[in-house]
Amino acid sequence: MNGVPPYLIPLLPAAAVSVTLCALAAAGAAALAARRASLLPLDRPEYQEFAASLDGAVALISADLERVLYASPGFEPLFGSAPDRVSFRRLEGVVHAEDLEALESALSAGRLGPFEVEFRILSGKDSRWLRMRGFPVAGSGRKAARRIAVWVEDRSLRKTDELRLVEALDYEVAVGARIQQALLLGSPERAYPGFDLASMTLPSQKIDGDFMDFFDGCSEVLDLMLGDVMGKGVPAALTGAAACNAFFRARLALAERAGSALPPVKDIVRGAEERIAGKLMDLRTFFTLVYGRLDGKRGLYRYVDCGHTSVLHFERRTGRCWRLKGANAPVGFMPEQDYVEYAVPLSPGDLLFLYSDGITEDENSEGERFGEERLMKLVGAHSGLDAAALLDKVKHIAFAYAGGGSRTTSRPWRCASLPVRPSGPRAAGSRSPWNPSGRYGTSTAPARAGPCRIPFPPRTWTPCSSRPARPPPTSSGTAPRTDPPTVRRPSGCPTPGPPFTSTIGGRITNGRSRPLRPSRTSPRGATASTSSTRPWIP
Amino acid sequence: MGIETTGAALVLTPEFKHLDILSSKEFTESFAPAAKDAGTVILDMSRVEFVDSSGLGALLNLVRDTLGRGGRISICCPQPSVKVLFRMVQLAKLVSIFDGKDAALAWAET
Repeated sequence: MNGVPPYLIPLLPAAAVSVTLCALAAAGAAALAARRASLLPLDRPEYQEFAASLDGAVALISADLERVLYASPGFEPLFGSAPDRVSFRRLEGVVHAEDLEALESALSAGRLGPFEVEFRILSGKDSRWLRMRGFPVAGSGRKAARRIAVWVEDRSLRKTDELRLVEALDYEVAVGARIQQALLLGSPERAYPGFDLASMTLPSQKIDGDFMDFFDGCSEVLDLMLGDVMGKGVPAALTGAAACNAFFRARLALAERAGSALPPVKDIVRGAEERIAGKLMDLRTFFTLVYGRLDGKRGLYRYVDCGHTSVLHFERRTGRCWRLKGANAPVGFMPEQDYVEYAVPLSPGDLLFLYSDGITEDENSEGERFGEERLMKLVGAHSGLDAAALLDKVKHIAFAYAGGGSRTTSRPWRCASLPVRPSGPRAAGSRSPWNPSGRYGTSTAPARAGPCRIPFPPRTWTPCSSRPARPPPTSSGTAPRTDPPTVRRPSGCPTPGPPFTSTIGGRITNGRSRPLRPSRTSPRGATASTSSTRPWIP
Repeated sequence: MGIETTGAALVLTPEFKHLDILSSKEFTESFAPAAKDAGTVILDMSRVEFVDSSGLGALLNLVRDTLGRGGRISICCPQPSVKVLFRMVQLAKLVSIFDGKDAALAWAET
């Protein structure tokens, strides 16, 4: 109505109105033609060959998903039906049942924002993978879309390739996991006389960084190694393999020098560190480790701990479960360390439980971690079982804990645990080759009678309810005294130091010397959550 | 991910609950460039409830990189569960760790 205000129209003669409307129609048609000429008319015959060569199609769907308002020529080959026979509200029998929910959900969300979804369209007995990307088309001033514009393309070939690739990767990971299980996490090669030994691993992502090994020493001596490389997957497993190799070579080199004598534990760890720590630092990785030696003749467990989870020691005589801790950082944390070796006496029936962090880090449905305290109580409560049965029990209880409800986390379950128990003679009154003094930490205990002075470890204990604890020995003489423990401050640590560095080795009370065994007045009847920290710091 | 300068220190605050294999990449990508030119760095761990070995690796690399180019770095406000891990791996041998942020800021001013 060029130049004619709308309110004047009723005042004009009928003929004049008719002429004006014709002029309007002509102007509108011209505008539409001009607009069409600026678009690519894929549905016109002369463009059909080009349109058919495209791998996809454009379509415009009504917001209620009922109708396809427009579809380019490629639509029908993709969907197997003409656009006017396709409704995105009724997809059963058209789209694969497994993909139905995802597509409906995406289309529903498509009214409000862009989306992308992959689904299978059924075509006889076969199906094709399609990918749809959609965008809401809103009218001016409207929030909700009136239409949804989609681009659909055939992804069958690429999807098939992707699935094959995933299958190949899965196969590689499965093979890798088998190799890791066989070579890095092997179970004991044979029964070791004097020890009841079992091992178990539950990898989180089929391959991860746990490694474990056993070295047979001379009679009644067995070295156990359990490590955990930073991260997961093939890189962690390869690092674990390299770590095992470094320890093997270190043992070999030291054995050649030492002759028939067994090389000290800390020398082995240091020898391995010399071979691998620099490379680990270059690779920006590290591993935690506990390397220990069970010495049946002396009734001792000597170990070096490098930032690994505590070794749990269930002491049969007292019915207590101790955490055996260390004082070293993980291998690869720093260029070189002064390794500290600890020793604890063992008696027949005692139990050592080595594990990696997967078991204690797992959460229940409420986000509460399994935790070391719970594991200690579990080990203590079932300490009467043989090693294999104990592992089975721990596995089932930990699984039940993590899967007891709808899990809100996907944290993987990862564990390598290794209970070992000296099974020396237990006849009443006989003096066992294990801890012949029969006392824990007395001045005549092997730990102090050995050729080198090896400190007792920093330990914490948790009361175990499995059995009534026996009274502590009363006729074993004077408990040894140690110098008042000193607090080791980290290098570079300001004064006053970090608030908790003084508790690395334990709590210091009154600066008085402490006995090397649990106090007779220790809180045996304490609540289940009570634990004590022993103050031994080398 | 919080990055701010307070006094003489660049304070980096990871803003996720779990510093683990999923978040360690973001930790490194956010903090490594920010800390590149900082002389004194404080890593505020107050919001992190859990650190796994991958997260510890990312943290360790930040510490090493900072110390390696002559900078200073400390950690403050670790939650109890994280403190247990730091104690287990003897992290205090490499870096100063403070319970409170004020102590860390005072350290930065020295």
